[in-house]
Amino acid sequence: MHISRVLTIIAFGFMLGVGLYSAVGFSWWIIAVLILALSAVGVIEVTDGSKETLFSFLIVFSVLVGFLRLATFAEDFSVAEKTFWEKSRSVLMEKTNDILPPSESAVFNAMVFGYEKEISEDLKTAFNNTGTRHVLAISGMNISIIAMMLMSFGLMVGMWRKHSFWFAVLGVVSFIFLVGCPPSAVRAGIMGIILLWAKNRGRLAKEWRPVVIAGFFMTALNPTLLVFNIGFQLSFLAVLGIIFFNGFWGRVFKWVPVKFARDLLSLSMAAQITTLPVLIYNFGTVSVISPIANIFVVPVLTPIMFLGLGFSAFFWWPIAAKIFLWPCWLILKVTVRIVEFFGAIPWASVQVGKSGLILFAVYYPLLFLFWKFLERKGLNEKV
Amino acid sequence: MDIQCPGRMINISKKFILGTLAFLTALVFIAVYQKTSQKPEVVFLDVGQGDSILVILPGDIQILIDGGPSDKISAKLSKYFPFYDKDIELAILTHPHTDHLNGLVSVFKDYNVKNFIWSGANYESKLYSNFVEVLKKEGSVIYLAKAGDVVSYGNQPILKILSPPEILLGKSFKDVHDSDVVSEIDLGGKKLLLMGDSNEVVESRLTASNAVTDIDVLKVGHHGSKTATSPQLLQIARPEEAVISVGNNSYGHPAANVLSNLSNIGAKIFRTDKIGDVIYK
Repeated sequence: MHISRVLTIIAFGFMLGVGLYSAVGFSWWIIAVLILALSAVGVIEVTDGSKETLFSFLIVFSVLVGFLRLATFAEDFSVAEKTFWEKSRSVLMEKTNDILPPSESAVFNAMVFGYEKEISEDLKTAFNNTGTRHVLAISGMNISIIAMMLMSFGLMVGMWRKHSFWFAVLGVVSFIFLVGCPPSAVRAGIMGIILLWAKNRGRLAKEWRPVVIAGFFMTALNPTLLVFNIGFQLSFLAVLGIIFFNGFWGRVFKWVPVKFARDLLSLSMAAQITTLPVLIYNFGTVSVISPIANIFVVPVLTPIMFLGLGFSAFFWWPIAAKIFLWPCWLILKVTVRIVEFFGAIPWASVQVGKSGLILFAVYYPLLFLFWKFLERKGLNEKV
Repeated sequence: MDIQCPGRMINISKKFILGTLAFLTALVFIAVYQKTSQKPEVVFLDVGQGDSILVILPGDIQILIDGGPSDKISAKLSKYFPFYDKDIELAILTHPHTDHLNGLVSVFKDYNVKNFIWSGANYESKLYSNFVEVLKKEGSVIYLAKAGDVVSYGNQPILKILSPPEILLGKSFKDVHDSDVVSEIDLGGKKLLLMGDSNEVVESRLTASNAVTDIDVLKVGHHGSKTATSPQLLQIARPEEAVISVGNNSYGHPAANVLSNLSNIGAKIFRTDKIGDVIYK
């Protein structure tokens, strides 16, 4: 069996085990059942040695490991000292505050440095209602924009494709250090690099395995992410949604005349379809306007990340810092107006009430069947 | 997320260059417009229950008197500032009560305050001592208010301090309103009297020393409280217009007799809780 297949199986099993633990808690009978199953499959594996038994062996084994990992996991709640890198972020953010007006500097610091505490509650609500809150954090999307810009830059100055890919990876890594290495940015960095790599291979739709494996490593390091960290769940599911459903939504929106609007519509619908239950379960609201609002908000990220990178490199030179930040002011001012406009529409978001866990048990199997159906009809292929 | 081969981004198209140039032109246009459209004006900001007054002068000059009760002031101020200007040329603290001081802390954080005027009187509060720390770090030039001090812009006197009569640094007061910084603004011949939260003690001192003259606009003292704005003061000041900076409160501001006294002398009343920001041009 290919190594990536083995890893994928282990990843699935592990996450299943972590999920199982959070659903039923620690109990000896589950451990006993798992160990019995493990030894049974193990015995068959030794005598028979077929692919299927190895498969079952791996999955039961990794479920057990996942179960034990969360059972024995103790989160470190001690307040860490401000690291050197976190200080570098606050130096940059203070510099932004010196140059930009307060509202825009708050949005800038959220988009580029992942610090959203300065944004007023009203504005956060507007971003929530329009389903565009994801831009106010360092997400896989921001990182992959940075990565793509760096890669293009590398190609432009005459690097080989392979070299410019590694140049982009290096740039992303240093950017993550620059913003203080918060775990969410590290995860976003991993996701962003995977997306860049997958895109370069030119077959995004087939590259779900590295995403699952990356998810596995992240949950292995901190198993509480999987069940308790909404940000992690949303970004993980959004990436999977884009991988599995982008082609289908691209077909649905074939009639949209402008290419970038078509791409963004299908991306945001694809992300929406896999994250919907998490949103309903946690917040009880669904943003109806989200696909349209995202068409206007997401493109803003590219110039902002570009100017943000420039600013981060030249922040020590007052004139250059201003030259990079003042254009951001106008872009962000318009963006905030747009978000406020869409957020003020009465039907922008619909209250559906929080649901129970049953929603997941019903929704995801149905979604899987839907995907199977699309696969069979060949509707997932890109047009 | 833009799904396209990065290699294609090498060819920076004409459209992209034109778009960038158009955008930069718009930015420069806005900057020039914001710079040249500045006219002298005084804005009584609607900050809820509290005081904050912004004086704008051509040439990116801003004077801020008090900061209101909350950090919402920073975003509010940015509406009146050109986007490239993060300097406040002068800030004044009338007295250290929360509804005047709290917002000033965030103003010091978000803006660069070049000069600062206060009474320096003693006052026991955590916020006040926190503010003093912030003030030390900011590096503003600090002046202690004293009647007769004048702030000029060009050769034109803009702001005159009427109270306190002497330097109060380190002095303690039973009622800190006694230490209030009262000032008069001269906006091209129009006089505005800013009473802060002065009580009748300060008012009678001002009228007795003939510091108050006939003015055009009165910023009514202490949010229209019954302990301020005596008929004696109104008789001398004779404002044509009166501004009350007030929000939802349990103190009964503004008092009914203050409102009727103002109407009796024919002053038009503008309240920030009724009409939002009051702008005097």
